[in-house]
Amino acid sequence: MPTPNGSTPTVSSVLVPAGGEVADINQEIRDKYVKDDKIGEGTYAIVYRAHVKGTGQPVAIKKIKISSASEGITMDSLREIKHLQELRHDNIVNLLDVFVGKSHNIHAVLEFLAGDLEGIIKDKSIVYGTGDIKSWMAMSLRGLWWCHRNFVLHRDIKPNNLLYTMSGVLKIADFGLARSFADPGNENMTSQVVTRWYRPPELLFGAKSYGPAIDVYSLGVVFAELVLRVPWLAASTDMQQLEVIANALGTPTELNWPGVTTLPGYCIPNPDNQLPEVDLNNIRRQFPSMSINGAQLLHGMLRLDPRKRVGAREALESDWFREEPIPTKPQDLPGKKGKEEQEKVGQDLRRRVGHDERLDGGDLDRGKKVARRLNFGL
Amino acid sequence: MSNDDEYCPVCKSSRYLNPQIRFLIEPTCYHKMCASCVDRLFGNGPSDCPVAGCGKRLRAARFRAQTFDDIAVEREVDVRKRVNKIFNRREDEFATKRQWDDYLEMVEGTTFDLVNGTKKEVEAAEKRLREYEEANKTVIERNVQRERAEALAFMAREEAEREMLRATRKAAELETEEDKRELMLSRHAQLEALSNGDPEKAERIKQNYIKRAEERRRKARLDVETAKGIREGRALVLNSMLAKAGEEEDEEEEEEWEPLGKNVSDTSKYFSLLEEYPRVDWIDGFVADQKVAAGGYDRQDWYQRSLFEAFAGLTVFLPEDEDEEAASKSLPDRTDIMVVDVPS
Repeated sequence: MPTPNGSTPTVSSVLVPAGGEVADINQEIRDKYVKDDKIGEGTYAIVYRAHVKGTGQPVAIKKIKISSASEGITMDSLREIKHLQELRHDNIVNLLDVFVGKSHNIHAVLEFLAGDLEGIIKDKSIVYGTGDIKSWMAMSLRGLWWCHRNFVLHRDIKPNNLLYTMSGVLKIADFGLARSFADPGNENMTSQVVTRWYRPPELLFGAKSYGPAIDVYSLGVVFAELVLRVPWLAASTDMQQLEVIANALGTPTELNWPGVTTLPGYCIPNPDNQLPEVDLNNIRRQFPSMSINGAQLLHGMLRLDPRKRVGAREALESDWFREEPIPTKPQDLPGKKGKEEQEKVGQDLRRRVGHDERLDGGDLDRGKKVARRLNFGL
Repeated sequence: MSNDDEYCPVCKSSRYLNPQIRFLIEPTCYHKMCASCVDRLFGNGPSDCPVAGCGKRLRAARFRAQTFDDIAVEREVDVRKRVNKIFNRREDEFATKRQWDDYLEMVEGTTFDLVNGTKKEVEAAEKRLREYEEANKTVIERNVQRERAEALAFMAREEAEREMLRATRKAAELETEEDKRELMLSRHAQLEALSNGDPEKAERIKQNYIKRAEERRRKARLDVETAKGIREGRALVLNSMLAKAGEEEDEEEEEEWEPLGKNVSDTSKYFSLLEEYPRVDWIDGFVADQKVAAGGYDRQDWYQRSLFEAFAGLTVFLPEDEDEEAASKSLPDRTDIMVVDVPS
């Protein structure tokens, strides 16, 4: 596997005119991968399935589109590359390399992921239990903790940004909205982030200075969704979203959230039916299948006042993770793995017939090749 | 109960006045009263116990006849029933005899506290009971299921046994009847042969009969054996089912929960964050702003970050500019917390 630091010189090559030594390095990295087929296309990127030459290790290549109309590449891709380069953790998607393609498009090489939690939640043929939810929550909290530990706000936590590998390890992905923590005095953070259903009340009220608590809230909503298997706080406009939150968690007031009335967009979302903030018993009534500790964790993650919310670190200390059933091991988690694995094998077979793979890779790859040779009798 | 001067402490009517009197208790406070008092007081829904100073809320549906003469025994049996429903672990779940004994002692201690303890002890025991129940839900449920499976298996075994006996008996009856018929037939045939002046044929018929009778008996024995085999086989299957119901989750050794995952720590070897830092106007002014605080901005995050950045890069040792390779190699530990490089 290429070392993460291998990417550092490459990125700088984006910024300097191609040519000379830098272009060579870029070429070298580009030649390391072979594109297979297109998996998906978004507004600002095309995703290809690809593999590492020689080893066959599957990867995903995100080809970032250049919009000639605006100032080149989008902010999103810049943010994603910037933050993923820095963050290395088991539960955060791994950026392996960055290179520039023939048509001067930036390509981000990411590890290959099998699917996302949204797919699992929606697929009613998949049955999962408390141990599985616990495992997913543990892994996402660890990933989130690592982001926050390195002063990165993800700002778009939702089930379809929580992906898993073929071996079941959950990875936080899509750092297109991420930014680092703000300095004191910065009141310019946008509140137009996070997908609406997962957007915390302070952002809906238009807060301009906020912190890691926003991601914790989003993950709390994902937690509830994992339990219920339907989106929990679903609304179609921002105002409705506030109302849904107020009805489910309580009406935000000066009493339960000192200072909330000073936020630019403050209003009472459900004036006819004002409710006090929910307490633990209330949460337990809404989620009867959860144990006390589980409800406590959920309650802690969904407090209205961001200052009262638990941090990712605190959440990981919850007794819920210690009680029975213990978190499922990643490899035992449900998910659609069979098909992917088959395809992978298929690729191996195709390659074995002797398509010319460059066999003189770096020292790092050589060991793997010997193993392959032994395995397949090449 | 046959005692004539036993009387209802609520309405004072006694067996002498009303020979049909029945006494009932309610397992909340165990105060005795007669059936007509229960109807009178609790017929219209739950109400308070009429005994002076008690006032517990009782319901008609929960009144029942007393099983034991001594109310203390009655109560203890109830408590034990309840405790055993929760503390339902079994000896084979414990690795050593010692652990099992300790567990039994703990159960007995809890029971004793509930039955005889002071108010404080009862509360503590209740708490222990609740906590155990909460923490061991799956184990309790599993043992309940195991018990059910065992009861089922026991019933199935009994049934199989009875079935087999019945079958054997029936087979024996049939066999006797068959034997009788054959014997009669063969006698007739023998007589006929003899009357026809053929004693050899008669002898042959007799031998034939004996041989067939023996054959039949052997077959009957075989049937019994088969039935037994089937029964034992069934028992075996049931036993294996039981074993499964019991074990299921015991196979894997539990791993200690590590909040941050294996080999990850969040302490810095260079600094630790203080609870508070000297006041600085421009920060204070910022966080004093209500809308900043209410948005969830935390100054500690900023202190943490500043310190982190102050120490970032301290562990990077660049070689004298020529060896780029080596320089990039030392990059991963450029900071003290970003060192966890995850090999996939």
